[in-house]
Amino acid sequence: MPDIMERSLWYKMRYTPLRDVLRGRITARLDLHRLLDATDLPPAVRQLIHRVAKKTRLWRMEQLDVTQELISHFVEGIKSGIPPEELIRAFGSEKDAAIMIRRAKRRNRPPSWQVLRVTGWLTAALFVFYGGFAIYFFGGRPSPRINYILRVNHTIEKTPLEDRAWPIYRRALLGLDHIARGSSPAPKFDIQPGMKEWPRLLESVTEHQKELEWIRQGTAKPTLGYLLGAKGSVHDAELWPDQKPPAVDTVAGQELAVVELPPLQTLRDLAGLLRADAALAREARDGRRLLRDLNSILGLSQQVGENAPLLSGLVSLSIYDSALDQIELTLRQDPTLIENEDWIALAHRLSGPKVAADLITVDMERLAFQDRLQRSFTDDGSGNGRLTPEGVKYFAWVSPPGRRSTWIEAASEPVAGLVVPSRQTLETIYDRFTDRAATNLKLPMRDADWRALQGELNSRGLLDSRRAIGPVPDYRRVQETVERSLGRRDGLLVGIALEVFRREHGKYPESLSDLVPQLLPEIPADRITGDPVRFRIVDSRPLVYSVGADRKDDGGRPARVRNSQGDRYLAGSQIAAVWGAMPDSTPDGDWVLYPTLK
Amino acid sequence: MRIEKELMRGAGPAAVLMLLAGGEKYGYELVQLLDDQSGGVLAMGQSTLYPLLYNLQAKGLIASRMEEADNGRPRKYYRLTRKGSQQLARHRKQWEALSLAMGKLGVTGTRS
Repeated sequence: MPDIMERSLWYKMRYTPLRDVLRGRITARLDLHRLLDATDLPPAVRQLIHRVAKKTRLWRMEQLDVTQELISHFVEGIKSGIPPEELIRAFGSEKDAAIMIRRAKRRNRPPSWQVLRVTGWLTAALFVFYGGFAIYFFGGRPSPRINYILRVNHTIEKTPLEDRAWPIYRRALLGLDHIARGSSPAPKFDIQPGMKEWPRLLESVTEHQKELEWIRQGTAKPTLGYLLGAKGSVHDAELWPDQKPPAVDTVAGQELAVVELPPLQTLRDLAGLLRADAALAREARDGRRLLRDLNSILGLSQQVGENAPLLSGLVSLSIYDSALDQIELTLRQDPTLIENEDWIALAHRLSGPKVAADLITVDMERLAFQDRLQRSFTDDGSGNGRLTPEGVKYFAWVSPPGRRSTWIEAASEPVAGLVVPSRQTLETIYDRFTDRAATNLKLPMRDADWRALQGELNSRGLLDSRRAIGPVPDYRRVQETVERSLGRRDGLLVGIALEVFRREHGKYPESLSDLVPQLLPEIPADRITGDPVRFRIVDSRPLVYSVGADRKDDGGRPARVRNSQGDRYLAGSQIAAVWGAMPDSTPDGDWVLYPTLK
Repeated sequence: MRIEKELMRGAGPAAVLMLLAGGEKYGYELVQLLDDQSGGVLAMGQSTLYPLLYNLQAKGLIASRMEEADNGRPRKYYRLTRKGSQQLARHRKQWEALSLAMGKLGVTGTRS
């Protein structure tokens, strides 16, 4: 063995502890050969010691320690007169010795190393588990079996063509040649009196009386008859030449949640046309035409909301509200345009919906969720399954839909598979939530128990699951919105009955009970308290009101402060139309039900 | 007589602790004492002694220090720690109880 001084610097550096290097001393004291060569032990012993030390695969400092100890052992043995061969034999198996020494020495390492070692093993085990699970996860494929769009369309297709409104609206739209082409100079139809475009709209309505008549005919049909999906009504080259049918799964079809809805803005435009024509009819004192327009707006509202998703339901409600506007305007400006029996018939039609569930359903949202589940989870044949990578994208648990995942996102997708409940569990949770919401929607707002549902949603278990099922509609706010419309409608029903009474008796009644049962089956309930709505004559005009959120009769004085939610969309007359407000933020004043328009 | 491995596993640490109770010793010294004082019964494969010492050290029952021997070479001495003394006391009680029980059963000595 050449002397250490003759070795290269690199060699010496390799066998020098870091702390020696830092002190500027290149000692090479970890070189076992050097250590062994410095002894006068026989070569066979030196080789044995070197092999044992190397086989331990310990750190170099530890190998040095073992070597020194074994050198000492053999030196003492030889010194005591035992031949080296005998010592080697008595030493035993060098392989076993190396293994045992390694184990024992490692137990002497510092606690920080032990912690790192355990952490390393756990991490490795986690990686192996995650890798295995990732293979399992990425192997999962959804197998959607139900084409929900076909199912929805099937109901529509059962209706004879002559009972569907859409073919007639389509003809009218082509005749109007505005919405279909989207040409900019075309008049906007969904506008209100007083707006800049209003005179132009009136002009347009006057020019298109033929199309308007078609629209009226359409609103008299029992159903809208708008077919959904790739082969549905939206792909109409004549009406919408720019629409291209999407490529869809031949078995499962397009997803219900993303399918094009009936053209809601177009339907609002149709309502706008009828509203404008109603204004013209009032101006021309044409009661018959006005009555047809009012009934047409109500018919259109009913068609848009029938078995519709929530969004369509809300548009239906806005059309219903616009019908209420027109009826109230007529009642206040020139009630004599409509005969008594027509007023009563109109009131009868208006009085159809009693609770929110009569205008809004949860059924389409439920179908859409079931459709999403079948496109996100595997199917084990019994209604259960596990999350798939498609499901992660569908529910946007990792990356928003439509965006390609980064590799980090893709690598983290299996986490969703570990934490997201099974298909059956999610369906059960969603059904429980939706069933309870549907039950509430069937009740008057004052009797609905949203606190219990909200409390359950906020409890940890269901909250986690709620994240898993994704965003769900705020049905409480929906119910509030519907109840405000229905409250206003109740006021209007009383207003109509009062007007008919006045015409028949030459004066308004002393009490609303005088209207029952000839003009009203019963006095409408105050939607906040459940008691009959209140009535007063103010400036020779009737005033119908609810006592409002404070449940105190303020004589019909509307509340002047905003409600606790600071909802700026509430009309002034509706500020007190809130349920469950906190005592310190309860609006002081009444909810005026009639009249509501300035 | 050669002691079976399983028995040796229990007896070895107790024997080493007992030897160290008499004062600090280095590796080869322990090998010799085990052989001599046990009449060769506890003479273990010499390579077995060092892992045993390292294990006892890891458990804090013994401690070590390096010292230069007469021949100028470093030599590692082992000594009993306080924890080791307590452990030895427990071992002794257990071995006495075991020996007594084995005697009563007639496994060792004469049945009383």
